[in-house]
Amino acid sequence: MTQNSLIANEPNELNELRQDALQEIFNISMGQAADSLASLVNDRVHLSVPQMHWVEKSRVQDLKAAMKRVPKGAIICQPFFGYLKGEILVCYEQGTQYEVIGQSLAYSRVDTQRWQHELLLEITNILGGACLRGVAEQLNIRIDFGAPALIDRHNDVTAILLNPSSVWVKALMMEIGFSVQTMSMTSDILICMPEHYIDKLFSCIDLLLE
Amino acid sequence: MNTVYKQILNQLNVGILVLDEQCTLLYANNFIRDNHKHEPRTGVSLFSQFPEIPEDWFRKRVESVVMFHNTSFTSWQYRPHLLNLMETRPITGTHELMYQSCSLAYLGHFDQRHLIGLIVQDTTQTALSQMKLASTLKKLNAEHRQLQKLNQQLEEAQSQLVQSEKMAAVGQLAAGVAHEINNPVCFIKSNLECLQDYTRKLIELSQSVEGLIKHIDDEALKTQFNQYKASLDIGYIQDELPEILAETLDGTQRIQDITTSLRDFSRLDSAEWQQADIHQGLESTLKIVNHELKYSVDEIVRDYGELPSVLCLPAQLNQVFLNLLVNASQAIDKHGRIVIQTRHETGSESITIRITDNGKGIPAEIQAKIFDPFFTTKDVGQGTGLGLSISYGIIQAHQGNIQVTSAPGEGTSFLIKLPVTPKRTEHTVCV
Repeated sequence: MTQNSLIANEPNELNELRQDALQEIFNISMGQAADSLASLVNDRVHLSVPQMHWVEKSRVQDLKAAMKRVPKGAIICQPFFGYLKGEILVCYEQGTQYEVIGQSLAYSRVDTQRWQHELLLEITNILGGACLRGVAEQLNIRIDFGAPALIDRHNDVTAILLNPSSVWVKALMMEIGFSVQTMSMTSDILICMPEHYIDKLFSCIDLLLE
Repeated sequence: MNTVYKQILNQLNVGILVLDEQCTLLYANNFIRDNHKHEPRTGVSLFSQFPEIPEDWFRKRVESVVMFHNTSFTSWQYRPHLLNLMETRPITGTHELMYQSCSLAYLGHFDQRHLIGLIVQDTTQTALSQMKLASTLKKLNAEHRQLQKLNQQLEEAQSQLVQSEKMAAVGQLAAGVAHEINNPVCFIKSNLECLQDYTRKLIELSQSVEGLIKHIDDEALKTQFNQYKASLDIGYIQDELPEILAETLDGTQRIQDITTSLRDFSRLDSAEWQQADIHQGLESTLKIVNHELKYSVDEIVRDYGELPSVLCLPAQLNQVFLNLLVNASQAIDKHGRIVIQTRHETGSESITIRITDNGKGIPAEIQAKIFDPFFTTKDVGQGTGLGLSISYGIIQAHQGNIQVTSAPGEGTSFLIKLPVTPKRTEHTVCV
């Protein structure tokens, strides 16, 4: 992790203020997202306080070490764009129970097995949307979403980030743990934004701080 | 401007439906109208116009989109035909229904109701290409696996062939050498037999001379004879010579036995199928492996039944017996006992040969693997792992079968079943 590399030109005091503000914005958004999700799926949803990681591609191993947990399973990716641009990566571990959440999204028990991947895409869509909607509202910016896609059936997120062909160099990664009681799972949402958009994000935060 | 927007919506190669949160259909663009079997009416329930949409599921999606003000997606991979829209190529198309990826987007709150747009993208070409690619890939993978398997089989067959050829070459060499040794041994033996006869006569002569001398009165001559006889140790020679000759003859006989066994074992004349005596094959093999067995095996029990002559490749069957006997001796630490049992039931068209040892046995988990090529429990360099696989191949080529039963700690028994007269069509197939 290179906490200062992305914002090296700014005075540290300002950076700390910005990071605190960003943390606060995400905290509020996560609270709202958890409530909305819970009412949609009629279940207890827990979203953790986001952890911020400043990551260089060459040092993804440091991210792996710094993450609270690095689950391995089906990885869904969903792009978001608008004023900010990035991707949401969610890993669903094997052994996750989908029946109850599937039923709450109107998939029958038989369907759940059959539509498991579609269900994962939709859960990712709802989760990602719920997390970033609050951020967009607080920063007064527009964020839209592309269709989520299953990019790996069994891997961990850091392995995906290490793909040598991928274009990113430096990025801000927000690690959010989430758990849905009936899914018997705890996993991570990783909201990733490349370096270029961090400046835009901070300029929004600067406006709020003024 | 509204007319312009509507024109644009109607010109798009994308289906667009607008509905409210109650799923009342408010608008459908031309793409939808033109490609759906029935032209949809607006102002009524979406599900009455598109009964193919799963209602509960769709309403939940609408609820989520309204709640989060977001967009929800479906993909052709998981939900290929959300709407029953027809393929856009009625002539060259290969599918009746259009593959679609859809987005359900929140449009906003107008006139006290939430509006939602369903945007339908035609992904038929992508879907068909992807499916074709996936099926080609699957086929390629299957072919690849098949090729790998064939390659492996080829490698195994090649190794078996090499080993088999090697053993045949060694056998031929041994038989050739045996033949060369046999010739001088024959005349050595013949000469020794003559020598034995001549010696016997000479000793007889010597003894009669001795008897005659006893009756002569010339004491000086007697003394001189006895002194001469004693100085030459003739008494000892008379006793030893027959023994030496008998032992030498015995040795020569043993050399002859070994060379005969080597010749019989390799059967230079056995490249072709022929009627052969299985017991003779077993006996010549036993002689060949005697040096291997003598240190660990105390007893070899020959429980031979009456066997008819069997149409076979004798040298190859001997190779099987050799492999089984060597394995048996290696499984035995000491005080071993090998039982060779042969049977032929009256009227039966096959014979059985059972070779049983009281060695350490084969663990159950590897019994299924022992006939696999390259499978060996011996140390590196000690065994090729091909002996039993080649034996298996030889028995198969004789249209017989070979089975193993083993109890760890108690011993192993190999049972070979061979037809007396294998069908001629497959005679030539043999490793």
